[in-house]
Amino acid sequence: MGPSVAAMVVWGLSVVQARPLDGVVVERETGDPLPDSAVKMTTGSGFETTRTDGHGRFRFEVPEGVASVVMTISLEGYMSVQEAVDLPIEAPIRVTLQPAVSSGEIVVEAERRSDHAARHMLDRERVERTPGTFDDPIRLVQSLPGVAVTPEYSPSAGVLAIRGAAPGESRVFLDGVEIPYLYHFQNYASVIHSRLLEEVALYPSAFASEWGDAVGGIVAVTTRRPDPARVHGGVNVNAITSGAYVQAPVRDDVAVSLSARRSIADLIGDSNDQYTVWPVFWDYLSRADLGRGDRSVAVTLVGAGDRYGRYPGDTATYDPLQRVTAPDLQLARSFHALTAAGTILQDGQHHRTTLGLTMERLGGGIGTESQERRELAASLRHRSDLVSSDTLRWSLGGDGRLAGIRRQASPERAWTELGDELPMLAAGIPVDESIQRLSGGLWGAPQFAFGAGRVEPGLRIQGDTLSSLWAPEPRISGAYDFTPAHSVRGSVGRYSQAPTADALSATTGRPDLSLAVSDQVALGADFILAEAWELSVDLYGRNTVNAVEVDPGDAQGLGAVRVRDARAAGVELVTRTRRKTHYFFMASLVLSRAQRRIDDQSPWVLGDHDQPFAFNMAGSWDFAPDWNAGLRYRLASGLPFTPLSGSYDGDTDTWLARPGPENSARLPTYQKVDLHIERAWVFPTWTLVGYLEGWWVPRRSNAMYMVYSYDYTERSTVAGPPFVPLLGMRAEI
Amino acid sequence: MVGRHLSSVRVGILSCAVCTACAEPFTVERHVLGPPRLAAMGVWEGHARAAVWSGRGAWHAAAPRLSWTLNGTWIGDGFDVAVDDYGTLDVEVRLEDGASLTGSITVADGVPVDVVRQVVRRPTDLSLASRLEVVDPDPRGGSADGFDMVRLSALRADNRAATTRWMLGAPGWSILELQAATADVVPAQVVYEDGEISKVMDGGAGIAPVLALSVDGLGHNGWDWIDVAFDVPGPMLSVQGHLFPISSETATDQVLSWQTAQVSHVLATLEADPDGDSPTGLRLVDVEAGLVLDADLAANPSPSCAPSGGGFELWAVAEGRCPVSELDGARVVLEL
Repeated sequence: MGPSVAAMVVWGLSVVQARPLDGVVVERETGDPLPDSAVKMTTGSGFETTRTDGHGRFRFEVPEGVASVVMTISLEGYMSVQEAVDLPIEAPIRVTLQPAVSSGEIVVEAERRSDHAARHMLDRERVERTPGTFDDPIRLVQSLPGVAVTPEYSPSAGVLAIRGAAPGESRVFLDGVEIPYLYHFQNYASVIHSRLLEEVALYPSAFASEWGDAVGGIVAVTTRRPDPARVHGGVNVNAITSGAYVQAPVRDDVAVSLSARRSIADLIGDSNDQYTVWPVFWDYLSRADLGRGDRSVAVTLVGAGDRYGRYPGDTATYDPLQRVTAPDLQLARSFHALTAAGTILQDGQHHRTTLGLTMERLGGGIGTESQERRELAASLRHRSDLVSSDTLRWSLGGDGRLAGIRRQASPERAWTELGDELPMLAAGIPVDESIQRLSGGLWGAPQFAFGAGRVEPGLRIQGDTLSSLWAPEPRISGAYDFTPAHSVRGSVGRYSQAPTADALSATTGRPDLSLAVSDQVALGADFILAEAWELSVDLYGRNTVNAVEVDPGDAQGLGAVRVRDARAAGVELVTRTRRKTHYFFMASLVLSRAQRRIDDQSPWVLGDHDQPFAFNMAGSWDFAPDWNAGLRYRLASGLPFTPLSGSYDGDTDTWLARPGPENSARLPTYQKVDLHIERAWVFPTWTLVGYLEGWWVPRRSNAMYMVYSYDYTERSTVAGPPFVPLLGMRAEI
Repeated sequence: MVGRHLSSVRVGILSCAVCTACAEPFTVERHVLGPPRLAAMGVWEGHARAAVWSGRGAWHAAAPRLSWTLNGTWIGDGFDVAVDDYGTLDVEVRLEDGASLTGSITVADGVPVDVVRQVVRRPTDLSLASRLEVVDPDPRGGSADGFDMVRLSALRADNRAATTRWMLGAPGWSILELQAATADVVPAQVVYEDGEISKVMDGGAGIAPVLALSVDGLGHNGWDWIDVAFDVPGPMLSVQGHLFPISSETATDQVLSWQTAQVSHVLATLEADPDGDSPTGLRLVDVEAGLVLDADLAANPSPSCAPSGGGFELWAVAEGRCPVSELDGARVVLEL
């Protein structure tokens, strides 16, 4: 027997002998085992298949002598994975599957089965890979159809101007309790750690009776229920913020979560200059959930704070001496909110009651002149849904807010140039007053279902003690499904909003102000095309009388508060992929007009947030098993502004701004490109993800606001940063 | 910037070097007397007064038209409008080219302001701290060396708390505040960025006017014009703060020695020279020392455009009351 024959025998023996190849298939995000996954092992001579057991485990018998095999693992709802495995292995291999319902797959999802005719939902997991959020999904609210597109990091970046309404005409709620603001200064980040966010709902207009005291839109943020089974936690650091979160079960029926963040940008860029301000901000969020099933209580404690300092004037006009001796403007704001929400589910009934206690503060000053505004509010919100029959459901509820407000200011002159930041100093009037107000509403709305349609008439009674006014608000909404792929919806109603306590102040406001009353209509249609695409068309109109405008920039005592009529109309088209696969795409186009006027005799002029054209597009593609890329593009009209000229003030040798025709000029068209690309390296026990995100804004397209020369003879646009990259890595164990 | 946590590690690197906003610089600056400007307002000895900068220099080719209102009521046009009541005084200035300037002030008594000109050593570093350390002033009537600074101090005749606002009619030079009523002029353009000096560019030689305006916020304004010169060769005659290069062809030897002599006034013929070196758009020719003021004034009355009752005041040229075309050839008495 020659050598070759011996080799053949050895080879032949090895073929008939076998050794085990063990492995486990787990979910990439959670590490949970994935039972019933299809596992295919391919060798040079053929393949074998099996399925994972209840613990996600599998086993093959590999013929002796096979140096490598190719494993293919697939499971419905997950992206298939194919890996080469060199043999022998020392330990069971670990395969992670990434959900095919990839994060960010659908950016905007309209939920048709809602009380509200128009509603946009943001889900943290679904937007996480959308470029441009910088790991903060709530920032994406400002890309939703109907929300005015504003340049990043501009003073208006955190403004929620919804369907042409002024920012103050919309309200923001966290777990049912109103919070004063959703974003830190200049929109560097939202005030909620993204890992503890469940969803964000936007009701842009013509919403149902549940919400009130707003003639604009409603933003309702819901925090995530802590995982009652496992401990999660994390630390994240980037150049903007650093933070940590943890959530853990305490007992069988108790789970808690806690997060805290602080800015670090101010540590990196420590000098505020004329146009770039580094705010210092922090926030925290804690939630405890007690009970399961049909009775539960959720207690949330949330808070945020911001502060910054900057030159109080135009550094171009400052003397070298002033640059040293002039005190900085210092500004700080904060809020803390404690909420407790109880839920009962039983026999077709759903009751939810939320109690809230909120403290907020806005203070600041320049030199010895300062202002301070503190507000302490207790709130109550309740909703009951009662199912009477297959065709009738009742929704009833109410909300109330009792607030005490303390306002103090000690200006020595009218700091009109600080009107957006310190309005009481801008008014130039000493203030020392306390204000109490009770406001709220009661509402009821039966819902009738008939075949493929439903209709929900409702009535809300809204009142306020400070203005001693109340208003009935009839509303009705309905929807009809012609086919599963074609449906229409619509609503019409009346909405009112009480002036703010500051606007009603006897010292700096107008106590005679009335309720703003808005009549609104919204119509929508939804189409499903080839089962793959969704197309939504929304039309809206709004006519508001007695809208209160506070313009501290023009503050001269009572003149700072003005009453206007306002109207807005628009059409919103949204399309998006429907199927959940390895890519997603969405696009929206909004055409709108927003106007206002002083009274019946005055001409209509553009509103501050009139944006005739806004286009948004976002897409993400898992172009390889471990690769993902995303692209987002925005193109929108610049916002209007009122050009200024100057008049010499001989007392101070300065020039006072004189407004020209109201909102007769417009900032340049804004456009922005966001890119995101990430690569995952999967190891047996952990996964490493590297990503690069960045935006690019052509310099000409990034005008944030106008600045004027010392005498208002020249003006220039302040342009934001054109290119901002974010490099990051994420290791998941 | 690396954190470790229970289930994941995230590292973010944001390039903050590019995270700043900016704006194109303006071509006008408060310290620089550039385009036409209403540079100062006040009530002087019961009369409304406005310092209008022509945009060309401390002179005007044509007198601007001034229209005054007091508390919303028109009270007169021109340069000799009496103000008989308190309140808010408004002016509208119509320039030669039709452009309009507006301003207002609280009616209050104006306060005389005198500006003292000295030469000091120019430190390498022009920061406020470095300039404060320079305390060796050398009173100077003429031109300074380009490597020095001219230090100007404004002295109010009252003791009200006030701020001095400095304006310089030389775009390539800089006036840098030192203290509440003191500033340094350097023949260089000092560029600031985020409050720090980022660049110093040589501005060359010449003579330039400076307006020092003292404001107390209540209308008690006062101002004075003064010239500064760097690296200008030859003798100069200082008249009411303005500097006039002169030579033996235009003045007697006696005049050239006046800088140290106790001479109260001179006689000179004004010659329009808008394109010349003089900030006032005028040259002085046939300059001679005055003898008896009253007699000289009687023999050489000021032009009709100028305030009556004394020698010719050069501020009337700077502020547009007397356009240079009306002064060409006039023989006047100039109090020093």
